[in-house]
Amino acid sequence: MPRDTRDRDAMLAAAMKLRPVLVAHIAAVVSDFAVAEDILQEVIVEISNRWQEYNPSGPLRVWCLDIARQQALAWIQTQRGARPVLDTEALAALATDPTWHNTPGPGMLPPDALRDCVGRLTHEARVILELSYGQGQSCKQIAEDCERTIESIYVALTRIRDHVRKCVMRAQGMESI
Amino acid sequence: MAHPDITGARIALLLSKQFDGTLSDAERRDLSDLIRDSTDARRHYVEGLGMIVQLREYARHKSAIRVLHTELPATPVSTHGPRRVRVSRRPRKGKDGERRQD
Repeated sequence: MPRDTRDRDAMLAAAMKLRPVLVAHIAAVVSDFAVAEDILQEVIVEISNRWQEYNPSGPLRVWCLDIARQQALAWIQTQRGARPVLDTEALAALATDPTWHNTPGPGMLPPDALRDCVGRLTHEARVILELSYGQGQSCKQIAEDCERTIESIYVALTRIRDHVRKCVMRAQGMESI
Repeated sequence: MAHPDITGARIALLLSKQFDGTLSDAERRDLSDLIRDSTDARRHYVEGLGMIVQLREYARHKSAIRVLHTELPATPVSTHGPRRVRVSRRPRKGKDGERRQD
C-alpha cells in the first residue's frame, strides 16, 4: 500500500530525534564534529528523498545510520587525500555494534541530569570543557592557556566524559548508555 | 585480552587524539585494531562519541547564553536614532484630567 506524506513527516520527525546518534556515527568516519553536523543536513535531505525505501518492519535507526555512513564516506571521497581514521574492517565492525541501538542511545542522555553532573565538575574541568567542546580549541591551545601539558589535557577530557557519563547513569538508574 | 578498564582508558585517549587531529600512524592502526577486534573497545568508543556530541551541545548552548548576556545592551536601542526626551517642570495631565507625575 502506498504511503502518504504523513508517513514521511512522521519518519523525518523520528529521524530528527536520532540527530545525536547520527552526528556521532558520521563523526567516527570524518573525525570532525563540525563537519559531521554539516553532513547531517545532507543526511536528513537524503532520508527525506528516500523515505519510501525504508521498510517499516526494520528498525528506523539502522536504516538512518546506514544513510549517515554512506553520506560520510561520500564526503571523504570529495576531500583530496582524505581517508577515515579507522580502516574498512574497523568501520564495518563499528557500524554493526549494538551500542548504537541501546536506549536512550549515545549522545541522548537527559539534558537536566547532564547539566547537574557538569555542575559537579571542578572549576578547572569546566573551563577545559568550555574551551574544548564550547569553543572548539585544540588541546595544544588549551594546554598553553592552562599552562599544562597536552597529555594532561587529553587525560582531563577523558575524565570529564567518564565522570559525567557515570554521574548521569547513576542519576537515571541506568546500567549503560 | 586487555582488562576492560585499560581498553576504556586507551580508547578514550585515542578518541581525544582523533578529534584533536594528532593521531600518529601507529595510533591509527592501534585504534582500528581495537575497534575491529574488541566489543569492549567498540562500546567505549561509541559511548565516548556520544558524550562528546552531548557535551559539545551543552557547552555551546552555555556559551551562546553567555554571549547573549554580555553583548546585548541593557536597554533597547531605537532604530530611529536617539530618543529626544522632553523635560517638563510642570506635571502633565492624565486622560481623566487629573494631575499625574511621570
